[in-house]
Amino acid sequence: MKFEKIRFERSGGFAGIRLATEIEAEALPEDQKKEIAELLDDMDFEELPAKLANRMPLPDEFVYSIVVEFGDQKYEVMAGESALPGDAQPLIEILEGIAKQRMRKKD
Amino acid sequence: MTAHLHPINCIVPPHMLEKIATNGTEAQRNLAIETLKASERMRGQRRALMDFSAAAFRVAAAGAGKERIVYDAKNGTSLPGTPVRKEGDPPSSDVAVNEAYDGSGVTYDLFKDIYDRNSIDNNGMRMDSTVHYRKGYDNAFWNGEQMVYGDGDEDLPPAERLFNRFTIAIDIIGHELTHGVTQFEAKLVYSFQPGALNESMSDVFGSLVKQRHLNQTAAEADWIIGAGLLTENVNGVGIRSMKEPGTAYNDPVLGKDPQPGHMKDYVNTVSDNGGVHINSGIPNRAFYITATELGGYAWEKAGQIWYVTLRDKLGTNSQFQDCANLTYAVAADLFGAGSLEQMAVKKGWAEVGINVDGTTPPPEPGGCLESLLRIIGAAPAKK
Ligand SMILES: [Zn+2]
Repeated sequence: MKFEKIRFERSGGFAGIRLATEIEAEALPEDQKKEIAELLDDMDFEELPAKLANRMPLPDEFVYSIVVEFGDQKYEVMAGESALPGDAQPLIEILEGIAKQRMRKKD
Repeated sequence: MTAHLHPINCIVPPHMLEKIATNGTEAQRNLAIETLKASERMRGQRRALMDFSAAAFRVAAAGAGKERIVYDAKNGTSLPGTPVRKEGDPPSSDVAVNEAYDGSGVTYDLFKDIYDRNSIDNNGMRMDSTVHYRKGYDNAFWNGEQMVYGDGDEDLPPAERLFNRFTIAIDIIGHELTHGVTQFEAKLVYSFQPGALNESMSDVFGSLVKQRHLNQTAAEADWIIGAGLLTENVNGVGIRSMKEPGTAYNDPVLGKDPQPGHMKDYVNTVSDNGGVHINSGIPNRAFYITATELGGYAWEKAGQIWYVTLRDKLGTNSQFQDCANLTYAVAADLFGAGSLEQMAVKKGWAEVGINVDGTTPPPEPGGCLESLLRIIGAAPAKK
């Protein structure tokens, strides 16, 4: 799935400390851009809202918001950790990793 | 009297919010609102909520008293993991295991000795904890059946670590276990104001567990939640301050503690299930003021009032104003109308901008649907 921009946010958790970043596809190394595009494909990101577990949020679990933009198309998902299907995990880990790295670098 | 607006039960999990939170077109927003109103969908949510409580009920094997098991997830995700310390076992060589064991023990003791509550469900439910959940997991949570703790940033070089292990602070353990108590009692929905009350109850009893463990009066206590959780690389004393919400940390990497301590600073957001870890600062401070006003040990009078309110009065959709009114009423039941205790409760809430008699409505008295519509610009802002 092609993307130009991904907006990632992790909120909540016991600490309630927000972790967020905006990822421009252009700014990513070629291999990472490809990896993310493939993960979006593998998990059918467009169909993700329908695959979320219909359950109440668990106390203190993280809440993820991911917005994928390509041209004038925009796909958004917001869900608690436990509501996301397992195949969303690899993507979350990559995005979370990028966000954590940037947070620590911003000085 | 200002009437409360409870236009709809506040059962709005995040996967519905995602539709609304998009910066979509007017038509998309309207569609989202219609979806939200759809009763079919709401019934589904309620069923999900009931299933959630039922699941916990099933694991609530009645025990005689204090019964604990600590499990090790060995950095994996499957729960509960491998049992490593059972009730009565000698200490482990693993510090996280011992902290989870001891912390749930002193939490049990507070509820049993002071409030005559026999564990999470008041029926001797076994207290299960899992430590070493995942790798680099900066969190702890209650999954409806048990407590779960990550190790913080153990996977990073020491100079880059922001979080220590989540069992390090006894009030975090009390906080998580109290989520279990709330699930069996008020069943406060985990979003917007009911969610922030749910969070605040966990902070209140988490802090009381720590204060009693340290034998501290209200004046002696630090009222910090999660002291010791942040590493020395972070400029902060903990995660939240019940005494001065918004002052627990201010750090170039982590940012600043976002908690308000007064209704005038209430944060409208869809993140964090509607700001449950943010706006909890308001009821947290009301409790702190009440307890300090009364002096002595906070778990004795203020804690008793809050506990009875949680057990007998609050409901799934209770708002801050309801909590203020109900703690005020409970204080009269327990200590008498016009008693010092009741006046302290009144003062506690007044200082965060909520009047118990409802003559001055707080800026944010509405239900969560109303809050939501305001966030996305579909309802006029309140004056
Ligand atoms: Zn919590």
